[in-house]
Amino acid sequence: MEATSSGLLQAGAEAHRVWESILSQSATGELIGMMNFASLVDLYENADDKIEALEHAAREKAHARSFQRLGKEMGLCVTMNVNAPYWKRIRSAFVKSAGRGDFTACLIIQELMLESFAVSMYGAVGRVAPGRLGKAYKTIAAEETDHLEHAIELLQEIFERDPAALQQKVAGVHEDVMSVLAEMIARVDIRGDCELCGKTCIKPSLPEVSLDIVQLRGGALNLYLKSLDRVGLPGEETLQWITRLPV
Amino acid sequence: MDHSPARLSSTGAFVDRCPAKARFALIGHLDSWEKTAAVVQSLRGGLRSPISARDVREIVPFLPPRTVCRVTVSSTDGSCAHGVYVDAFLSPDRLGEGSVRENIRRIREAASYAHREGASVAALGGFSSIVLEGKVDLLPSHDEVAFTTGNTLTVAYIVRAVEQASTLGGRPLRSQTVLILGATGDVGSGCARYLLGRAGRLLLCARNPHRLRRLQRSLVSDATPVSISTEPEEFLSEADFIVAAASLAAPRFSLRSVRSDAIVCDAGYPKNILSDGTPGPVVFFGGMGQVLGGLRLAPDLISVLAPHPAPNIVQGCLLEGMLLALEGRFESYSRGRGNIQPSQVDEIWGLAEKHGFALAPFFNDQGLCGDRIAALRVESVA
Repeated sequence: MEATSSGLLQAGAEAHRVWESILSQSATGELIGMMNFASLVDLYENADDKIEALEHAAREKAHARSFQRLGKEMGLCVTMNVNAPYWKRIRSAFVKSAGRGDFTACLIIQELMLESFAVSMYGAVGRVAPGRLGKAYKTIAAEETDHLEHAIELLQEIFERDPAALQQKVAGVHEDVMSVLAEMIARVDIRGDCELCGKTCIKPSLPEVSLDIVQLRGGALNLYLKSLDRVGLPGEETLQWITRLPV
Repeated sequence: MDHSPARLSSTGAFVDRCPAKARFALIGHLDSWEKTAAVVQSLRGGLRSPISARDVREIVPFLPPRTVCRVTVSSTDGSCAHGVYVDAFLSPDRLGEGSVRENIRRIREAASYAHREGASVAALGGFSSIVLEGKVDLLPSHDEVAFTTGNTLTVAYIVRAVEQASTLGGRPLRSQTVLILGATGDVGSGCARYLLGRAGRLLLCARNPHRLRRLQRSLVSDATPVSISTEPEEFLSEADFIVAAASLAAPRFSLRSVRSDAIVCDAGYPKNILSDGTPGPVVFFGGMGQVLGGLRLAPDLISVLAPHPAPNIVQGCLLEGMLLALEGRFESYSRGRGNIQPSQVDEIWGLAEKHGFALAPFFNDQGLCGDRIAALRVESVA
């Protein structure tokens, strides 16, 4: 706690607000991940797969709790709001896919798209966050990397079986989910209040904590594209998907 | 004889006669943010809101190198080859020495991407060829892909253009003084070797005096005296022809002291010549070829990637990759710096003619300019 709080004590009020928002987004995202993995339990038929999905859900819950606890130790108010507009839309897209029994779409949403963003952004935050907070972000980023790697392996197999079908599926999910993520990380608020920042959007204040929305967005899109490359999807297709995202 | 590379099926679908596997890769980058924005907007499609110039500058530098479009090139002999255009997404305003490390990393990634695409030969266009010219070991080792800078064909197009312009302008080349800017570079030195004995006099200009002296020592001809300088200004007013082939991050050469009847070939990518809008000598963009058999891009980005006043005009360096693929010669035809010999220029030119890779018509950013060169003949006669 000492390294974390001493680092933050030196920061101004705006930096406190930025850290509160970053932690709130992170904790809410983890909670969404927990709910998504829990939804997969019903989708799986195999008992081992059900157990593994539950274990994943438990890990995501632990991440959320960890962010909440670290925030509290630092005197920050960490909000977990799964009904915040952007997160709600992402969760709805996942629920829709789960309702159709579409395991592949669920995998793409949770473990490819959300984890690509989590790995990239947690990594960036981990590099600038003080003390234990930074360490926590780095540790969780490493765990999420494992999820991402696992998803890429599975999707590579699916792609090899039927490239056109997977390409079509990822394109559809990209439209539903990446559009929301792109709005979340746009330089300016495209759809208004995210309901996790307090009064005003914290993006312009990210430099207070040595972060920058352009770098965060760029890093996340870069990792997402590289993940799609590794799955085997054609670059000219994924490039078009990226250029069509909201900015 | 049917020279079309493909035909439409009865249902209107496109049917290729060539195998689908990519055989060549063209690794390149765009030289201006305006062009980059045009490509992004084209990919974005007309139904979405226009993307701002700021967003383009903020997002594109993060894109990993990747295929932008698939390319089918057709020879006038009826054959065709498939390939990909892989953009390294170098930032147009970060081509200078301060970004060399980052740019080399991106070119390496693009080279790996060409390998992933199954290319057998890959041409490195523009700044991406610096890796092959000077730091070959920096390229990833993929035995299956032969990398070429494409500079030999670029040289061929430049010297053919100089020859053609001298004919068009009514000036026998053997009586003309040709200044080469960037003379110690791979393209510049290749042009110097070729024009030795063909031009009346060669003036060579480059930044490195040691390389310049070494080049001068290697160029011995009774027919063509060779002079050198590290200062362009020293030679600009003497030149009948100027070949600008320097590797510059941005245009740098002013033509203020150049004679108004001089002919300037700007073969740089990015361009070498500063355009200040004032009337001056004729400037045409050199090192460019035109694919007479046809070129097809999917998605169709040709009008934004090659916004030229005549169809199917492409940089010679990239055309060399396509040419080698059409010939089934998967080899590093152009590699290293200062290795381009006149015999190779003649050989690659022969292949270009065989496949209908003609010299591009004279043009610049204002449009076609062959008539301005021809007008010089009229003026000299008058």
